[in-house]
Amino acid sequence: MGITLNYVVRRIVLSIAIILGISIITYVFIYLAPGDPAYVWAGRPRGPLASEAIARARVELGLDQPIYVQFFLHVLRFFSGNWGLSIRFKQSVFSLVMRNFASTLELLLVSFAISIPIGLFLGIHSSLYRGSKIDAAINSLSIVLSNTPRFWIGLAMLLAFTSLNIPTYGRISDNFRGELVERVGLYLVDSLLQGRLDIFLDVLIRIIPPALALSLYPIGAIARVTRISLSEALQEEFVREAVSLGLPRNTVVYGYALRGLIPSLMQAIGLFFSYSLIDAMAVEYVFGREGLGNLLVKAIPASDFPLVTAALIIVAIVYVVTNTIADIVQALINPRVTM
Amino acid sequence: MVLEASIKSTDLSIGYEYDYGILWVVNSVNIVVWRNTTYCIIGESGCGKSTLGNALAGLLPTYAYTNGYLEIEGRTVVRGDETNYNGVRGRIVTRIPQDPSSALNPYATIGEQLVKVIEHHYGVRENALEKARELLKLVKLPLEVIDYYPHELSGGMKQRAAIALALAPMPKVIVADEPTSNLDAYLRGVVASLLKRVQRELNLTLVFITHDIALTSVICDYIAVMYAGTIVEEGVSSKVLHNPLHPYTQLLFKAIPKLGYRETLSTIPGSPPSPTSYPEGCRFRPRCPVGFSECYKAPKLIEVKPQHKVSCWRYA
Repeated sequence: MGITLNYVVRRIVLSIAIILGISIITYVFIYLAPGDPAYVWAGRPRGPLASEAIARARVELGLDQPIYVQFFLHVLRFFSGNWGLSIRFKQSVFSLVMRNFASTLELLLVSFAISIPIGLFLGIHSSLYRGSKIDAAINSLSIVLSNTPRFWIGLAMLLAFTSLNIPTYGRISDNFRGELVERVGLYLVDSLLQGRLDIFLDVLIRIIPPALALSLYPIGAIARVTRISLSEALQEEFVREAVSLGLPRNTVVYGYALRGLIPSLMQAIGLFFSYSLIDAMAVEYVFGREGLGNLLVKAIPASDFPLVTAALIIVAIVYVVTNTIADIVQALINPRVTM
Repeated sequence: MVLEASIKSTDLSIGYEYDYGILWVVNSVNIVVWRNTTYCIIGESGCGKSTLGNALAGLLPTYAYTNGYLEIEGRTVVRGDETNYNGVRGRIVTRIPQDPSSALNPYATIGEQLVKVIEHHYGVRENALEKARELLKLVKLPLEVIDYYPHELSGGMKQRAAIALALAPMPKVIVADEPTSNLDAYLRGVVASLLKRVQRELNLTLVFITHDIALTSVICDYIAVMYAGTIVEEGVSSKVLHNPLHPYTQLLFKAIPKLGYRETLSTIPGSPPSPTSYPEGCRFRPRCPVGFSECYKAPKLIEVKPQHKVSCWRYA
């Protein structure tokens, strides 16, 4: 067992390939999409000098060059750490993306802290009682959960909480915004580091409704993946052998059958995590939270290609990281795997 | 030596649900297995041997239907459609599986697996490792195997490790479900004689399920021949092997090559009936070369010679 240099190199090459691929696709789509970045960059000018201003913006952005040159320069700059300026916000893309990513990450972490235990619980029990009414009920529930539109549930929750006078709009109360010292970027952690329980509670109350709305899909999806893979694992010969040896039910289910599934479940959860990042767009927008999703919603209509590419690359990096973690766990658990 | 019954079944039937009702894969089986003996169940594939073995080891799936009565070491485990194997699995019966490479937990070393089972049943942490070493010695595995993962062992070693694991809860009955089918001819003999030795040394009751008839003569005290879910012949192994009575057994034995003889090997025409379409009366009737009019009624398993039972109208 162990992680070889070969594995590390392979992972890095794979990540670069994914980032390149994403850059190409976003670049091409933004290029093909209606809307003119130069127009936005020039400040949406009107009047007699407008066309001149737009032409100047086009040269400034390098949009007058052929698309392959543009793309090449874009990628070159990206990998040298210069992510450029956002066309819409005229701020550094890097700091914009990082600040908003922290907010999204916080939301997703809370949402997965809710959905992983519930999803696993539902999946395990539906698999243990497969064919029974419990199984049918859990199955229907998970189908309904994973197919409920998140923006709609989000809206309904926002309305419900607001009518109960519970503040859920925004990431933090305006009163606290100036008082919080940002260190990690995750407000839940920052407020605790500062020792301010009142800020912590305010942030927590505001994060739970969107996190709940976001967790519906992963709950259903995790339950279904767990059900299928555990049902298969329970049929395995070594699991039946453990039953024959008289080991207690919990040992057999958790120690034998579920243990081998951890890597593949982690991989699946990583996939749902990356997917939820996109899902968060709608939910963040509804709840008026800053975040990657909200950022993308604003960036795409402005043809803000540096920002869109950077935000999507963050999604790709999260995907690669979760997959790498799943691989490492696989190597730790399964003695037959070396990387 | 007084013979005491270890396993006793009365009209035991096991079935599965299918579109038109319940499919009885094992039909009204009456067997008595005496303590400290080796009892072989032989027959073709798909005649219910493994299902019967699973019923003895308590590994029937939850959707299986049962009927009749089964008692293991004085405990009633099947009565009608109720089954209760609590406290029987492990302490009283364990199973040696068909394929040892998939039966060992691939995520733990042999030692961890043994210790886990011993600890669960006897709760002696400090002695568990010592006990695991004894078990390895018993099955003639080198002691360093304790730190090996299953995939680091050869096929024969895995089978020995699986036997050690089955012995770990110190059961009274062991059900070996075709333990030799995945091994080569040499290892088959070695593993079979190992099982026999272990059975004698630990005073176990061994139920040996196989379709390898050559092995049965080496290790069995009693033989039961199964056909289409029923037992067609049963008795002391020497009697059954040297003087088979049921036409099916006779044909089955003719299909085995014997060293030094140049007879043509015969096959039994046709194939065993599927549980969906058992023939009326004697189930072997359509393939039987010596059947007659009486065979349209179901025969009963009766003792025609001392310690030798057969279910065939020609001896009734």
